[in-house]
Amino acid sequence: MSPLLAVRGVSKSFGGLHAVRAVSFDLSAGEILGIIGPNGAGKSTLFGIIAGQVRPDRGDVVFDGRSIVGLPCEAVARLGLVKTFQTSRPFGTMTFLENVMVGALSRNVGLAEARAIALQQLDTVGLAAQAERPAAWASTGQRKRLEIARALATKPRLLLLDEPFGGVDLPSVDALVELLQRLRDSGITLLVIEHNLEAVHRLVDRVIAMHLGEAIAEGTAETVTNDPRVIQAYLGSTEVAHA
Amino acid sequence: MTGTSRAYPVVALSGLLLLLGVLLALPLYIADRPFELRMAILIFLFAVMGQGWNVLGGFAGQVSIGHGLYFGLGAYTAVLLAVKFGVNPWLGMLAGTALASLCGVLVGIPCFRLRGHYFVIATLVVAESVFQVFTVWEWVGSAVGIELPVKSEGWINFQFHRDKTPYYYIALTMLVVVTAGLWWLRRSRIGFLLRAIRDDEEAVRSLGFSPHLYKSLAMAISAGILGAAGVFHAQYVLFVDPFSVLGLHISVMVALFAILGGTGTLAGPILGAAILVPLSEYSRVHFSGSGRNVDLLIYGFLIMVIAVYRPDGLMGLLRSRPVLTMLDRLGLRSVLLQSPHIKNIRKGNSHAA
Repeated sequence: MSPLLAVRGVSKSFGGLHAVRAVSFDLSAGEILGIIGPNGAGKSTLFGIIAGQVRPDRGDVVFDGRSIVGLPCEAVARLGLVKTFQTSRPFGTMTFLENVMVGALSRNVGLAEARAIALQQLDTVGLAAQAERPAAWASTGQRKRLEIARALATKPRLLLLDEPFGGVDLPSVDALVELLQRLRDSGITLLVIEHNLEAVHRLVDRVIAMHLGEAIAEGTAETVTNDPRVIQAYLGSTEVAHA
Repeated sequence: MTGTSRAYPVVALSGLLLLLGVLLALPLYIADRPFELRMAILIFLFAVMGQGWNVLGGFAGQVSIGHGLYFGLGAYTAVLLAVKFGVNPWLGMLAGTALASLCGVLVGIPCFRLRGHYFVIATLVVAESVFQVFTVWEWVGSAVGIELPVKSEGWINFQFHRDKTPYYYIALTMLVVVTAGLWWLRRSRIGFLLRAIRDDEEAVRSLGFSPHLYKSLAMAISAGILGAAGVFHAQYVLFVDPFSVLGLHISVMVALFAILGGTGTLAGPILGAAILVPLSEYSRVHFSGSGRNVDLLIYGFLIMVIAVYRPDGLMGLLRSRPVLTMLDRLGLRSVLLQSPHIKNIRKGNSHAA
């Protein structure tokens, strides 16, 4: 079966800095793939390239058999490939419900139906009780879930989550892992950038580690996090144990 | 939903109808008072312009200080069509509206790439450039302007010489139609997405919408309303020149009326015009020839006051604590302040998890 997403040798430089260098990987439908790596490894740039926000210098991105390089990000989203932001960006003057309605409207439905879809998605992420509250009041953890609900409302096939566990307190990590697994079970493919390695271990089928723009290791979470190159990338050359 | 939530709009609607009734009857008292009649007409005209500006500046959050351009284009279109080709002014109004809309969309193609202050500056520069061109362009009368030939008065010719009351009713009709249209727009899918764009354009893109498309739509509506207002103005004063319809002060005043009243609200621009037009007219009377500068001084002062105490405009006063308490008592809070897309979700029925 052909992969849902195929990334083929994409590279991107900003001036003299090689943010992403010849990265390739496949992602099958229904899979959860994690991308790890220290800050500045090029993970978010890679996400930007896939989602159509950053145009690669070289390489190709094929989504569902079709090259999407050069398409504007709204067109990519329309195809069912939706990305959340690393720093969540709720619509500040809208309520939780209205935020999610915006996502639902991309399915060309009327406001009433968008509202119904939005309520359902808020329920999925456990924010139904907040529906009428202004999104500006959301806590960091709520913002992350709100963004996921907003993206879900577009009915995506592939969801790119940029650090969904960032700023999420410990008890909520379990709930979020469980939520993402449910999403996968419902047929959504997930590509996740994450620093929280514990969450990565529990969540993903496969991991790619990036360092200085290159994919340096790929495999199960276990093998990748034990790979000496990955450990060295995270810790530098010293042998000091992590904090 | 429940019966009580239906009762609020009834209160609001009867208030509106009462106001409309008063405005319809008002000429009975001011028809023979040229100063007051003129002031009422100007209030309606500027309220219409403020509403138009608000679609782009308030609903979509793209602040323009070049909207005088579309007002002027509308005015010039109708006058030129009438003078050069003998076109009826009502057709001129359609043409002026359409041309202003089209120009707005064209201006938007480069300008919507810019954000924040840069967009504001670009709108100003475009409007100023067109103004300069019109001051030297012979075919459109250059700096001297063009007078509309006086015709026999009546509705067909859109000219009224002895009794100006028909202008009052035309302006009032325009205001009602525009306000009703925008009331609908705000509640529509487009209005909803414009709000989202105002909040975060990138997030809207990431969900599959083209912000440029929706901003262009807002611009087309916004510029078209300004164009129609320009045609009305030309028919009212029977004259256009670059200074009176394309001048920077028009752009600034329109934006000010909406901003001082409260951007993004329907009542804001009306409130702004109702307060600022009389201010300007009375100061003109009291300070005679130099009055024009005095009203600008007062505007400047008001901007400072509003910017410091009520950045969301006079409509923002409705959100102050004592007023909120009062509105709650009257049961009017949800009518006036709640966002149009949320009907009352009763606490509890949205609980499922």
